[in-house]
Amino acid sequence: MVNDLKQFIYSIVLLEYLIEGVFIIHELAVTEELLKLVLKYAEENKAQRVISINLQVGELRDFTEEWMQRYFDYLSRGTIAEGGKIVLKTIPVTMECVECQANFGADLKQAEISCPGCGSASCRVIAGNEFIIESIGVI
Amino acid sequence: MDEIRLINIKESILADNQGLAELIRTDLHSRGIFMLNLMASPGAGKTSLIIETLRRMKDEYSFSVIEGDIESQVDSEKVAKEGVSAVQLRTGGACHLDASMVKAGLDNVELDAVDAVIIENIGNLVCPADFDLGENRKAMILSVPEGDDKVLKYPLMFSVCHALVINKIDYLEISNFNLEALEARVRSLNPDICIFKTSCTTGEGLDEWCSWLRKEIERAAPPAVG
Repeated sequence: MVNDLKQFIYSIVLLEYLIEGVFIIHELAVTEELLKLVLKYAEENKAQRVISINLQVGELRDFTEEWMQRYFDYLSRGTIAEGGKIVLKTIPVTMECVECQANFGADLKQAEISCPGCGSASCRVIAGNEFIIESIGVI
Repeated sequence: MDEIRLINIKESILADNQGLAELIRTDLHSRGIFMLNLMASPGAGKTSLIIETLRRMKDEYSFSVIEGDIESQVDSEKVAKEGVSAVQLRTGGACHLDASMVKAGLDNVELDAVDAVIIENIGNLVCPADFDLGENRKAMILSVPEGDDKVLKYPLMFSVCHALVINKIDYLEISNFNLEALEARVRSLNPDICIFKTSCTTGEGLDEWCSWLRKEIERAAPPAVG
């Protein structure tokens, strides 16, 4: 049953891919993992229903709330998490300069990244990779 | 009316995968086996790079290849032709490999007889970056025809890899690919990354790539006794 559902979703994704030319399946695999965790915690806490799922996701992960919600709606059918609302808080990218250790925000879609303090182009990503389920709201 | 309770979790969404990946890493470490997770877009040259690597290194080390490409026997047959064992994973419509698939693959590898495992991940620059497979090193290929703007589109992939192979370098002359700009951009995200420029057609750069790999395999190998 679960596998049938998975196949069904994969076929929808494939169709989207053919139409829009982008793989949106990215959110699917992660949403499966997410649902497992949500159900685990909800059951441990004797919840009757899951109302909201609060996530903190780094900007680099490139996740869209809309697609996670769609997949979550499919996958959670018939579980106590059905109808749960995904609330995604995006954590912006923070870089650290290798030369002067200054921290700064960066728009990674822009062509050049350099430290606003010393101008060095040698930097590393220190935030923006997060992938955390912060909390769930249940009744 | 029931009141809404907030349950604090603060756990990684991928905690399950991460846990299994750590188990794989510990197991391989105890056996002195090196594992490489090779990622790229479809057509960037993953299989070609693996084949060329095996041709140059299979007499020194015993390799096994885990093939993750979607529902295809073609790649593992090419590897088998080189006399190297290959395990083909059946991944259905998946867009990436996860630790449980790799575990299933490793169950079919004769680990006592292997020095290094190369995983050919599914062709995609997005999802594979999210999943730890228990590897020692992540490497990615970007081929010249794909364009130098890929680092702008998929920064996560470029920021998590230990090595970047710029493949099909023989196409450089007939393209407007800006190698310098790409390298500068990649280093501004990931200053420690090792960059190689290769062509599996002309053989350019493959020795440098292989010597990096050799160093990494040696690092994972148990110290020689006596």
